[in-house]
Amino acid sequence: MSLSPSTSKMLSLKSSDGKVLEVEEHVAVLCETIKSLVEDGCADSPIPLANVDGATLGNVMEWCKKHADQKASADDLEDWDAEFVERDQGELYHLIMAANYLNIKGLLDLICQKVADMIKGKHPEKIREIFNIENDFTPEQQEQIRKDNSWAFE
Amino acid sequence: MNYFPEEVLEHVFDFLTSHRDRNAASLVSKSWFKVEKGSRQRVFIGNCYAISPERLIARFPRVKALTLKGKPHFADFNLVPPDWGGFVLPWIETMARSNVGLEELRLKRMVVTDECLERLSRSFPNFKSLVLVSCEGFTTDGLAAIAANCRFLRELDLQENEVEDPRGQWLSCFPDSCTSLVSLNIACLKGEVPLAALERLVARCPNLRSLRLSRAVPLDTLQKILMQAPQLEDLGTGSYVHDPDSETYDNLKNTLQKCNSIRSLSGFLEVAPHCLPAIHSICSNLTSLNLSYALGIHGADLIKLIQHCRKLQRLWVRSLNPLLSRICSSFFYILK
Repeated sequence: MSLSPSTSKMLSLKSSDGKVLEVEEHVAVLCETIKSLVEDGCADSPIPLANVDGATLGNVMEWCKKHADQKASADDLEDWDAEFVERDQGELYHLIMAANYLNIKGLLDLICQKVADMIKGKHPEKIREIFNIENDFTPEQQEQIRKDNSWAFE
Repeated sequence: MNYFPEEVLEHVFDFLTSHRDRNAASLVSKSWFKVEKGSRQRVFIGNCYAISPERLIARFPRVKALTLKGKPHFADFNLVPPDWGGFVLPWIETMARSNVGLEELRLKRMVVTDECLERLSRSFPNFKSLVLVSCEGFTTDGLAAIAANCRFLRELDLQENEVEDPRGQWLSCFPDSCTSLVSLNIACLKGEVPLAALERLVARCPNLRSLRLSRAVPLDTLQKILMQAPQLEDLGTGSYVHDPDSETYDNLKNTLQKCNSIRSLSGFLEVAPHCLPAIHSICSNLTSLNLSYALGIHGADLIKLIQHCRKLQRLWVRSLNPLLSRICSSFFYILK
């Protein structure tokens, strides 16, 4: 099966909130999950994507389109990616979940790197605040981990 | 932000490489602790008595690369009693018993016996890298076990260890199938080196990037080795002594002209200053030059050498005189 741009046909993708997006096949197959469906001949239109909402799907496909463009240079993609991840946390969360579900390694790496950058250099209290995470340790547990960390692993 | 599933969180943690950041992540919540614990592969333990091997495994069951430090720094000046401890054997035994997939071990100022090295070489089938810094208690018999049994060894780095050397043949114990070495540092070994075995080993390791030789490796062997390994980036010469009016010296000079990749140079444990012009051809590419063991290079010879090193960023010397300081004033670091 040829997946080159010249012969690429259109695929319909249906998001969890019922929006249908028409995407060129050579773009959509950057998602390994969709690629397997296409290769197995199971890509009945529209392909239902139960875990991705319409807005996120649009963002994901925008990334795929850019990365399927063979004319884009590595530098160009790097700059473009840097801009792409400048989003609020809600969008980043949905993107990471979508990249994981659709199995797009490049996009998953990109967003995970971005989230890791948000963690780097921060104290646990600050990280909890950023990601709105509840501290479910008992004070004793926390003290024990803190002790191990400082005595041995730093 | 909602909570990440564990598989996604683990992927995020893949990008947290510093121990400090991983430690902070482990304190965020129970689920972050669990994911961090299950995914940390590189562990640093700054004091081998601060935690037991069992606790290490319980905390980080998937550890692949372990750095362990033993005696305090002042042990280097004989200020620590000989029975202080710092034994690595219990660590190796515990990891072997717990089926840890150890691949890299870096030890500093610890007591390493031949039994340790033997156990190490037989317990971890994917073992790749052994770095021993200022360690003691082992002989070349232990190194022979590492050479013979670690099929995927990429790095063997012996820095400033006290090594008993009952027989110099351990290098011959690398099997012919060993082609994976990337880094080999034997500069601290005092005994005889089987030169033909060394040459064959270098010739069959196409990815060798770093090679630091011991005093027992003469200049003519260096020349033959460099013929086989023009890809080297980091070179430590052994004994750099020969007659500059000889064919061997001319060959070395010609061979060095083809070694365009060398960026870091050290060694010269013994040196004939008349032979130094041969290395001038590689000096212009050097970013790092370590002459802290090159006691025979000083005065005008040293200055002439440095003047060829236009890209140098780091220089180690035993002593610094005002002229040298002036010449080096454009470098980033001078380390005495």
